[in-house]
Amino acid sequence: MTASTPERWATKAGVILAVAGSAVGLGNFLRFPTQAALYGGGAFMVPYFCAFLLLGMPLMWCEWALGRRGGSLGRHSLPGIYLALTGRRWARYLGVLGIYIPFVILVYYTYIQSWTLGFSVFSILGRFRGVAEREAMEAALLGYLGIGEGPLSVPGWGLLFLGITLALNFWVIYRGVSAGIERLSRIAMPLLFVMAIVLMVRVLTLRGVGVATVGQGLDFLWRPDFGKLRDASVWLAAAGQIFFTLSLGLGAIITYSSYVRPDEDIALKGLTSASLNEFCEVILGASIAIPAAVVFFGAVETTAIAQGGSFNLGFMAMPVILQQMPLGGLLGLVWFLLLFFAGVTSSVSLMQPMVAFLHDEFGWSRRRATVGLFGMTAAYLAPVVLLNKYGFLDEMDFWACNMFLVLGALVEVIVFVFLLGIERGWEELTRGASIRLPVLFRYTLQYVTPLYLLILLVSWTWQQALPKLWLEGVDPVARPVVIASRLLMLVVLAAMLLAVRTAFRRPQPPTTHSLGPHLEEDEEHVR
Amino acid sequence: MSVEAVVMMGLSWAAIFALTAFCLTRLVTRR
Repeated sequence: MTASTPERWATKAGVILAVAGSAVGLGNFLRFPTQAALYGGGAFMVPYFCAFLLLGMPLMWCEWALGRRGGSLGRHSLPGIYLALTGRRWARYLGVLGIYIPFVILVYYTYIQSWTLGFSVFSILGRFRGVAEREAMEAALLGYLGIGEGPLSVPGWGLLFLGITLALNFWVIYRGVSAGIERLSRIAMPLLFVMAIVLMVRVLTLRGVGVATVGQGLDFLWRPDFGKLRDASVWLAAAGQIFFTLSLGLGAIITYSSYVRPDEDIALKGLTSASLNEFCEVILGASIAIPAAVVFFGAVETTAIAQGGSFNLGFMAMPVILQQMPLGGLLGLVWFLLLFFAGVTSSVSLMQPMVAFLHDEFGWSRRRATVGLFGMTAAYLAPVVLLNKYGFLDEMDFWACNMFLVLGALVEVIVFVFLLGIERGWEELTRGASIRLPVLFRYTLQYVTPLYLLILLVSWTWQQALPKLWLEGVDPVARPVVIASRLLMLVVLAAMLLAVRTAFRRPQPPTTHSLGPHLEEDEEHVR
Repeated sequence: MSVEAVVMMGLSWAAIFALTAFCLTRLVTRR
């Protein structure tokens, strides 16, 4: 990877599968069906599709356009892209969100990903055999995490699977954009679709088992309760789901799209990657876990499972369900490998922004940047693993996924609409497009999307962040750990701000093109 | 399955299928 031969995606399908892989994650198969089940069933799709059109797609296109333009200026991470696009020195500090948020999520996401790898091995080894209650499965999960005793409490196994997961992720990143990420996506994404279809067919053809029929399972998920649409929290939940499922606000898609060629059709590619994600979520994701849970546990207990959250469904209910089917061990392997593949295609997208930052702005080689990121991740993982039972991981997840993402997206839209300029931004988005984007989306991006994000940010701050900030409902024993988790997040943020400051004070590596419209006049200042 | 559930599921699936088919067709035919 040098400035004279910039990295590029090798194929059209490669970048689409990579972006779709970034978007398709555990949430498609666990979070979406639980949210839909809790927030109005089929009626949830009304605010869901509204959010897709008014928030999801405009932001997706905004990220692709920012990325391609940044890439054409030789920049692949948000600090450099914002600086190059706006020509304003302070904008690079806004861009720190594009390396900070992916890094924080990466740390705990790889840990959770390693559970899916471990559970896939345990499934085929039959370690869940005989565990017929969700409560017993919960004990098994806690035992695996070293929090209690259970059938999976084998010392060292958790660390072994974490090591394998980290090794795979970092090997892919070390190989580079085309030979690593693209090759992984071209293998993992088709496999993921096949595994999801196998499980969907298995669930939809269940006959004569459990306490309910598959039809009742689908009815549980899809029967609309339109009365819930009067509840603002349903609209917020749908907007949140669209946000998480499309991996928006992270900077990951911006980094990925910075490796496309300047004349590529990003309008169609953005829409295709989003549609593949929606296919995985609405069609495949909704047809596996929740319908199966209703068949085996009934509607009342499935509601309790959904209220318990995604992990409850994925790691406690599903192993119990799958082992009651013929070839249950094999189906368990397929289920957890599906989650693992969904996870690994997402986690590599969380790594690339930091590797790109270290390469572009510090001139580090890919090997050095990969080793550097590995060191940072391993160091941060230590407290995550050791203090998980006190809520260290949950605290990171709450702030990163609820607040930082929305903040990151709001900054992206502001940069796109007001600093780059909507005229130039729209021109960038539509250049080379084979589909004609309705001009309505331009006005949506200009007015509706920022307002939507602002409403999300304010309402989540009011409803969730403020009570969380004052440690409401936190066990007094866990409070020091929760505070430590926050302090560490702040220290990491400060370190990254310092890194951004340092990076742009040192002589910059040559870019492949000019630095951009505003920057040339400001270039002397910057350097 | 109730009629309302069938309608909501059918509409949602149809929308996603149509969008995905449109995108993939455009990608293939543009080559």
